Amino acid sequence: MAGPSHRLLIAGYLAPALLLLAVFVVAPVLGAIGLSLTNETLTGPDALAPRFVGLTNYGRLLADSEFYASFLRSGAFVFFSALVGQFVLGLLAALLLARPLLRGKGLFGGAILLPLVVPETVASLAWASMLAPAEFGTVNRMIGGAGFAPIAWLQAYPLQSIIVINIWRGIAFAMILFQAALEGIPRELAEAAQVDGASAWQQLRLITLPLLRGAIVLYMLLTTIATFGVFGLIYFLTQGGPGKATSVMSIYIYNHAFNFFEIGLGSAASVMMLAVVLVIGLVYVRLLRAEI
Amino acid sequence: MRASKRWLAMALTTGLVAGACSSGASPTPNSAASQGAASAPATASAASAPVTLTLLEHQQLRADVLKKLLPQFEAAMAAQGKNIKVNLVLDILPDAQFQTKLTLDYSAGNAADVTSDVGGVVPGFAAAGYLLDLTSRVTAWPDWQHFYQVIRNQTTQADGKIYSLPRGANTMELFYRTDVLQKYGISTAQPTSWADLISRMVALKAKMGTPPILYPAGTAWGGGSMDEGFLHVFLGTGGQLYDNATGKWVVKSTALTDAFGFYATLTNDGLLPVQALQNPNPWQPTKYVAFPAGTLAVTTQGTWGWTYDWGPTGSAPIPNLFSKVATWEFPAQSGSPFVSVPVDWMWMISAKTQHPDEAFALAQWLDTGQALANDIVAVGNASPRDDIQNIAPYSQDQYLIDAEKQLSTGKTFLPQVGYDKIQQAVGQATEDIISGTMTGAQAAAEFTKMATDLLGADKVEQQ
Amino acid sequence: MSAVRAAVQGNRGSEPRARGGRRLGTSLAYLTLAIIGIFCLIPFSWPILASLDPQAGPYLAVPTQWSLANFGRLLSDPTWLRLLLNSMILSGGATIVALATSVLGGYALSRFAFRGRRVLLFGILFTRIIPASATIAPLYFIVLRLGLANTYHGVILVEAAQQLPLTLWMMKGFFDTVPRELEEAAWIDGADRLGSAIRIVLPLAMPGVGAAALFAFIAVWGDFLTPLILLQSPDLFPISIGLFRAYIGYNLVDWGELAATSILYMLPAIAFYLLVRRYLLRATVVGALQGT
Repeated sequence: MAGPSHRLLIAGYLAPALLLLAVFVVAPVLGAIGLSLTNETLTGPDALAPRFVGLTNYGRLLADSEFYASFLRSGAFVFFSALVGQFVLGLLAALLLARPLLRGKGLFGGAILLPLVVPETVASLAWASMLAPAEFGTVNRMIGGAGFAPIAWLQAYPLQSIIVINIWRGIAFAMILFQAALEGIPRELAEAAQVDGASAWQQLRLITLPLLRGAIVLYMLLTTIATFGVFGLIYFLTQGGPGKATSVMSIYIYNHAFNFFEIGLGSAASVMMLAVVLVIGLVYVRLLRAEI
Repeated sequence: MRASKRWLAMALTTGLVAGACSSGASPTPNSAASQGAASAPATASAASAPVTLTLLEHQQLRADVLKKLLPQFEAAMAAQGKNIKVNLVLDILPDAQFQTKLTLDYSAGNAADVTSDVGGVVPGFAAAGYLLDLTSRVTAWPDWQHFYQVIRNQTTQADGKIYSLPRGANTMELFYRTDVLQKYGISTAQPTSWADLISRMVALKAKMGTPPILYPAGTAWGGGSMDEGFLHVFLGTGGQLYDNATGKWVVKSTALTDAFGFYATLTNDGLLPVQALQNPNPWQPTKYVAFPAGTLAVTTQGTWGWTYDWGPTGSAPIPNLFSKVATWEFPAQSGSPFVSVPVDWMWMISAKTQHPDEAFALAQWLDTGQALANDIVAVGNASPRDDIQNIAPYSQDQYLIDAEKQLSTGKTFLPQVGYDKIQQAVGQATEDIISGTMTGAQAAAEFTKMATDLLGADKVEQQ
Repeated sequence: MSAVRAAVQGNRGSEPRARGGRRLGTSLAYLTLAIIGIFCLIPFSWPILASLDPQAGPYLAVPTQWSLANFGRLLSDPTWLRLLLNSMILSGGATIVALATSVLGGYALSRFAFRGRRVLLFGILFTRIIPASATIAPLYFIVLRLGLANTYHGVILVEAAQQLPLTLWMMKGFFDTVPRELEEAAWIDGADRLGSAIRIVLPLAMPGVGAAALFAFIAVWGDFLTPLILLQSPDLFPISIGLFRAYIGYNLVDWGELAATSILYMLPAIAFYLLVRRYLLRATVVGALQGT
C-alpha cells in the first residue's frame, strides 16, 4: 500500500493546501527576511534596482528610539488589554455563566460575544461615536450626567482608549475558552468542596483555578500572539496618532512599508516582530504537544 | 487499473481546486482589463474600434468638473475622427491615503492611463520608471512656450526630461482673518520679518487665548508639513536645500537649523495648534474648523483656499470670505517678504499605457483653453500658462489672475529625486518639535541623521 | 428583572441557612454579568439608532422620526451594493477555495499514515501564529510578482491560505470522528477511495465542513488589512475598505448610510453566531487550541 503511487496519492491530496500555505503564508516570512537585507522601495531609483544592504536596516532599527517605543506600546497593549482586561472579565463571565440555575445565559453570552464576531471596521466605527470629543460623544454624555467635563478620549488617553476597546472586543475569546475548560471539570469536585464547607472564593482558588491552569497558559499564549497582530482596529481609529501615541508594532511596520515605502526597513521590523511571536509560538506548540 | 483510478482521482481533485479558483475568479477583471473597466466600458462603436483611456481622480471637486469636461474631450476627438472614450475612475481619498494607493497602483502595473497628483511625487515616480517620458511630445507642442518659465522648470526633471504636464499653478502666502486681527487690535500690515510676525502673534495669542497661527508640521500632515509649511519657512532663510552643482541634498546648514528654530519658537510661545497637528487629518480641526470659526487667525495657504477650502462649495465655507480673509506675503528671516510658488498638481501618464498618444492628447486638451479654465477654477488654481486670462470662468476670478501675475516673481523650489525622503525627515523633525521632545537645534540634528539614513550618505552633503 | 428573580427564587427551596448567601451570590452574578453585557452592547447604540435616523449625525441621538430610509438609500446606491457584492465574492471565493483544499488535505491527514505527518500537522498549526500585519509587505511583493495584485482571485487565494491552518485542522478533526470501517466496507464493495470518501465520509463530516466554512467566511468577511493592501480599484473593494474610506472623508460622510451599512455588514456575523451557537463552544475551542 505504501508504494510510490500511494505516496503520490497522499501528495495529490495535500498539494493544493500546502501549495497555498507555502506561497501565501510561509513564503512571505522568508520574503520578509530577504527584503530586510535590501533597500527595496516602491518609489525612486531604488524601486528599479534595489540593492543588497546587509544588516543596515537592522542597524537603523536598533538605533531608532521610535522602534523601541512602538515595541513597548505593543507590550503595554498586549499586557493590559489581553493579559489583564480580557482575561479577568472573560474568566469572570465564564465562571458566572457556569453557575447552575442561572437564567438568561444565552442572552448574556450573546451580548458578550457580539463585539468579537462583528467585523473590526464596525467595531471601530461604533467606538468612534463612543469616544467622540466634546459633549456629543456617548461616553462624555455619560460622564457629563455625573458632572464631569467632556474629554477628547482618543487625544487625551489614546493608548488607554484602544486598550479598553480591545478589552471590549476580546472578552468573549477568553470567556469561550474558559467555558470549555470549565465543562471539563467534574461537578462532583465542587459539590464535595461545598459539603466540606468551602466558601465560593476557596472553591475558586483551591479547586477551579488550579484545574484551569492549562487553559490559562494556553489562553495567555494565544491572546499574546493574536493581540500583537492587531492592526485594523487601531489604524481605523487613530492611524497610530496622536503623534505616535498608538503606533504599535503593526502600525510602525505599516507606516514604514506603505506610507514611506521603505519596504526594506519595514521588513526588518517585521522580522523582529516575527521573532518575538516565534518564541511565544514555540512555547505554545511545545505545551500543546505535551497535551495531545 | 488501480493506478489509473488514482490518477483519475488526482485529476478530479485538481479539477475541483482549479474549479474553485476559477469560479471565484470568473468575474475578475485582469490587470489589463481593469484599466479600462472601472465601470462597464463603452461598447465598440460601428465606426472604428474605440480607444478607452482611464483617468483616476481622488478629489470630489476636481471629479465634478472632469465629469463635465471629459464628454467635451470625446466630442472634440470625434470631430478629428478619433474615437476615444475616457473612463473616469473615482477614488475619493485624503491625499496621504491616495499617495499610498497611487504608488501601489504604479508598482503593481495597474495604474490608470492618466492620473494627477501633487508635483512632489513626480521625481520619485519618474526615477522608478512608472511614468511615460513626454519630452519629445511636450517640446514639440507649440503651446508649451505659453507656459510660465517657472512652471516649465518645475516640470523638467534632473535628467532633463519631462514626465508630467502641469494641472494648475498656485502661489502660497499667509492667509489671515482681517476681522479677527482688527477685533483684537493687531496690525494687519505686511509683517516685515519672522521676528515681526512672531511678536504680533504673541500679542494676538495673549488676547485670543488660542494658538493663533498655523504652519503645517508633524507626521500626521504627511508631505504637507514640507509642502505647505517648512518649505516656506526655509525659503525665507535664503539657504540651499539641494545642491544643483553636486546633485546632492544639503542636510545640514545654518539655514536648516534656523528654519527648525522658527518652528521651535512658534511652539515654545504656544502659537501653534500643536495638539491638532498631532492628530490624524490635522487640517480638519485647524483649517476646516478653527480658521472659519476665527479661533485660528493666520495660516499658510495656497490660492486654492479661496475655493477648495473656504469657498461656497468648499470643505468649510466662510461666508463673505473676501471681506474676512486677506493675505500677507511670507515674511523672511531677514530681507523682503516673498510669495511662494510651490509645485502644483501634475498630470502623469503611466509608462504602461497602451495608448500613449491618446493619453497625451487628453492631458494636452485638459491643459488648453476652456478646459483648463474650468479645471483650475473648480479648485481655485491660477493658470500655468499666460494665454487664458480672457477665458471664462477663469476671467471672472480676479484673485486667481492676480496670483498668476506673481508666478514669475515668487520663490520656488524644484523637487528632485529623494524629495519624498526629505518630506519624511521634515515631518519627523517638526513632529519632535511640536510634541515638545526636541529643541530646534536637536530637531535639525535629527533631520540630518534621518535624511542621511533615508537618502544614503552618497546623496547628501553638509554645509 | 423582578420576574427573573422570582423565577430564580421559585427554583430554590432547600437549605434555608445557605439561602441568603446564595441569593446574594446570584444577585451579584446577575449584576456583574449585566454590567459586562451592557459594556459590550453600548457601543452598538450609535450604529443602530443612526441607521434608523434620517437625520443621523456622527453622535448618538434618539431619532426624532424613525425610518428605514437609510437602508432604502443604501440598497439603491450602486456604490454600496458593489461593496456588498465584492465582500460576498471575496469571502465566498476564499471559503470555497479554503474548504475544497482542506477537505482534501484534512482527509489525507486523517486517513493516511505517512512519514512526517506529525511534523506537518504541527508545521501547519505553527503557520497560524504568523500575524498578517507582520508579513503584509513581502506578501504584497509576492502577489505583485505573481501578477495577482488588484484582482479578486489574488485576494481570494491569499485569504483562503490564511484560513487554511484552521480549516485543515478542523477538517482533520471531523474526519477523525468518522469511523474508518464505514469506508473500508465500501472499498470491499468495489468503490474507489475518492468515491467512497465523497459518498460516505464527506456527508458524515458535513456539519464540520459547515462549521469550518462559516469560520472561514466570517474571518474573510471582516478582514481589513489584506484588501487594504492588495486591492487598489474602488470597484473591487469590500465593505471593510468602503467603510474606512467613507469614515475618513471630511464633510462627505453620510452618517445614516454609513450606520446602515455597518448594520448590514454585521448581520452575517450575527447570523453566523446564531447558526453555530451550538457548535461554537466546541468549534471555537478546537480552533483556539489550534491557534485562532
